[in-house]
Amino acid sequence: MTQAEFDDAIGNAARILSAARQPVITGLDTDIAGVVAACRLAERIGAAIDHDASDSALRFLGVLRDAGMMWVTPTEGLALADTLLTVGERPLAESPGPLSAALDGSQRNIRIVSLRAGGPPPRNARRDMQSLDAGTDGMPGLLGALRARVNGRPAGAKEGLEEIDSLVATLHEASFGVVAFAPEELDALATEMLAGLVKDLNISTRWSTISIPESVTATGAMMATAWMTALPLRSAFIGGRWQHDPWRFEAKRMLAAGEADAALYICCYAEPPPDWLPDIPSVLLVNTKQVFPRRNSVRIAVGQPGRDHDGVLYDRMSASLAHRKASAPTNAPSAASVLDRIAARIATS
Amino acid sequence: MIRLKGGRVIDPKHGRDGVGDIWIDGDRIVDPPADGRQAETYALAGKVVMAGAIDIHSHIASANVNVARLMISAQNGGSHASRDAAPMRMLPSTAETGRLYAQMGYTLVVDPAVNPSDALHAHIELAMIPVIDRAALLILGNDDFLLSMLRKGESGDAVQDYVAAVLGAGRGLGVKVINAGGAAAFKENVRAFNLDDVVPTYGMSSRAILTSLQRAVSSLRVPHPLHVHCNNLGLAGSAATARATIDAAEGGPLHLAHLQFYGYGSEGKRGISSAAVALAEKLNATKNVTIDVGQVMFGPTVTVSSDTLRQFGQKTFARPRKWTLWEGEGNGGGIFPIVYSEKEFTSALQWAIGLELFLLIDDPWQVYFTTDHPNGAHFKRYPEILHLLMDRDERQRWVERLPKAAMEMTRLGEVAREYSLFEIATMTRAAPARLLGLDDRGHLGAGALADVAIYDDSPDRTAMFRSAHLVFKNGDVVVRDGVVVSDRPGRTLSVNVPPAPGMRRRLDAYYGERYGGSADMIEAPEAAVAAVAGVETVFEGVACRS
Repeated sequence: MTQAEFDDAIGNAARILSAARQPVITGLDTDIAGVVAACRLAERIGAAIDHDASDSALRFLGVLRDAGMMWVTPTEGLALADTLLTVGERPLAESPGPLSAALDGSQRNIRIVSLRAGGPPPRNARRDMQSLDAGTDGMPGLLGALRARVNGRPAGAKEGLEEIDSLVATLHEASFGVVAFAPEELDALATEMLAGLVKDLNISTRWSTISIPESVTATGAMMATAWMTALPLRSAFIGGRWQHDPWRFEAKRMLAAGEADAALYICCYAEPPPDWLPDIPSVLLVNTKQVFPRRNSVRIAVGQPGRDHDGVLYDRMSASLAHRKASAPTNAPSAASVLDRIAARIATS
Repeated sequence: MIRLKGGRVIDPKHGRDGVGDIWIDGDRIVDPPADGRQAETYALAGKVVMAGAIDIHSHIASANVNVARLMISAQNGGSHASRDAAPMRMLPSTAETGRLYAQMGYTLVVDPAVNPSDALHAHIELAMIPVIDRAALLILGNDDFLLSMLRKGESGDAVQDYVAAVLGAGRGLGVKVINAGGAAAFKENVRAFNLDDVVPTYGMSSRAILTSLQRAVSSLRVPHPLHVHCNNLGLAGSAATARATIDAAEGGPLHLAHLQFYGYGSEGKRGISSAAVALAEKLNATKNVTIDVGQVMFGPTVTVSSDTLRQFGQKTFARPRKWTLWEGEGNGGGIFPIVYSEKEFTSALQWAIGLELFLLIDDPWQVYFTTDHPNGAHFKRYPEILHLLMDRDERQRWVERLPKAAMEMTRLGEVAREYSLFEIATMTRAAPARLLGLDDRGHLGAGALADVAIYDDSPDRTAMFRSAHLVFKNGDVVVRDGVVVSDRPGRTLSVNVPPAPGMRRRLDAYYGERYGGSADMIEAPEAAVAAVAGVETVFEGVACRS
């Protein structure tokens, strides 16, 4: 894109967004600077803001808001743990992943038990790893049964009570136990049951959780919107203030229901165009050469943080933010810089 | 050039309290020009002129605060983008934080509790707080690296190098220790931890950790003394812990945080009483120790603390009943909402104890004005507290309507003292600047940074301090008639410690082996912070004492 083409694109983007009555900012698959710039732009144009992988983050948030959680950063948790309880598939299957050193035995010896919902064991599972299948009760039922037995109450589990009690004894023996789970694999009830189980275990011994989110940009976006707006994702700047409603301001729902009349879609990674993005006036900040067929749209190529340019991203292991230097720097602009240019153009027009 | 003409200038550092002028040239206060040059003049007859206020202990950024924002977000309501006064929310956004503080005449706020492994996040948030300047104290004292050094008996010089390396990487203004050894002990299932208790795996006491950090901070000549959150926060009888910690300073400089939460004896039929009188007497006789109060005010708020052991222990006080506790390298964080009720004995006692400490500690250079925001109360409540300190009748009105059983456990009703404006300026400006080693702040002498707050001299001190008439930040008007008129970016102050390259290499190896990373995990690179915050410069260095 030449400079003149870029300037035109910025102008067209500003025109599309400022003309909209209810724009929505979505995708949001970008670095922290990109989310910050998106929040600022949202305030200028009265937009709703959401990440396209925010479902599990909002479920986790729901439990945080209703009951609270206990967690430990993966780096610290894996340094301390003598017992690791994995819940679901992805904590085990992701390779390399946050648990790799624990799973392959290269780290010091940690006792590992996995709670699974059926299927063959993952290839990188240790041979000495104990496994418990959720069976017909599913994961919420299994976690509920575990929690009941941890507290010495009758469990409603239809099967495997002896195995559950044996596992409970293992959990109580831990000096520092960690439950590793992937938020997108657990529904709200299972997450809440897990949170309660861990808190109950802490009556007598020490346990915590490690959350392994699939999307680091969704977690980063949640952090950034919290300090920018004092609210989580799925919020909108309306009437001079930020409002939060996880149903009303879910971007995919708004777009499907025709409640948004313009979309700003941001994806700094080489992902295909989402099929849920309707053909409405759109501004596309993307890092793919794939085609987004639509009539009234502006497409601006942006760089990938940590590759084309430096960026600050959520780091799953430290559960904080980390600075990633550009591994292969290019001239591709960052999403943040483009968003700021659009905002500036709107301000002056 | 600017002339602030005819206001009542209160400048305790220079012993000044009288009608006069202040001259500003650029970002500095200057002597009156000899050449009679023209100046933009602000007529301030009937106004009170002070340096910008400084808050040395307020939780405004980093993981704990941000998690708390999310945790209470259903109750929180959204933030405002405009600069107008926004309704008070329990935890404001970064933008609101800067504006709300500026409205009250504050120009510098210190977050007292940043975990070094969260430094980048914390500094990004701090850099996004507009208008005011900011700083962070970095938490040490529960980190495996330090405790391992002490276990091995490494030298004071080595500990000093470690502290310097952490401060340098994480851009701290000073060092905070929170229940030294307590969070580490809690990871080993210890549920109570006193000053002379020993962290099981490491084998040293809380006292040993505390004194080693105190020595390191002093040897480095970091201006701000070690900032201490003592053991046993919130427990009946915790006044004994505070006294023991004061003694542990052994004549060296030490700062005790939110002392109100340690102002408890264990007398009376409820097993809790005020120990403020004895604590105040001890502090009046111990000039090497400073304290901030951590005043409680009635209403809902949220507790945000890196004292994971005590937050776990106190979770039953959560209202509504929800609590979060996270752990990381060193300290972590405990968060739960709370309601201090004026109908409730303990809340009323806490409220009274904080005021007793303010009023019974004689020297306003020794006692610092905080609510430990948000733990005791939102920082927006500061004007009400100032009013209580300055107006005995206002205090009495409250004392008479609070639970009698609680008031009878304190001496608050008998205390006649009323803070003067000079003492308020000392406590909220001159003293904090001195404590933090900021020679060009907290006063209005020539050469000072032109951070100036001007108030209407109203008998309603709450209204007076709630909305400043004018606030200058670096010589620019940022507040006019209580309205923020500029979102200029501030700076984050950090102490310039000598580099410790050998220790940095050692930390790289340590973080690699233990965590699979590097010492980058505790670093806050300025370029990274600046890029997110959208500013060119983030940090401003503060010299160590010479």
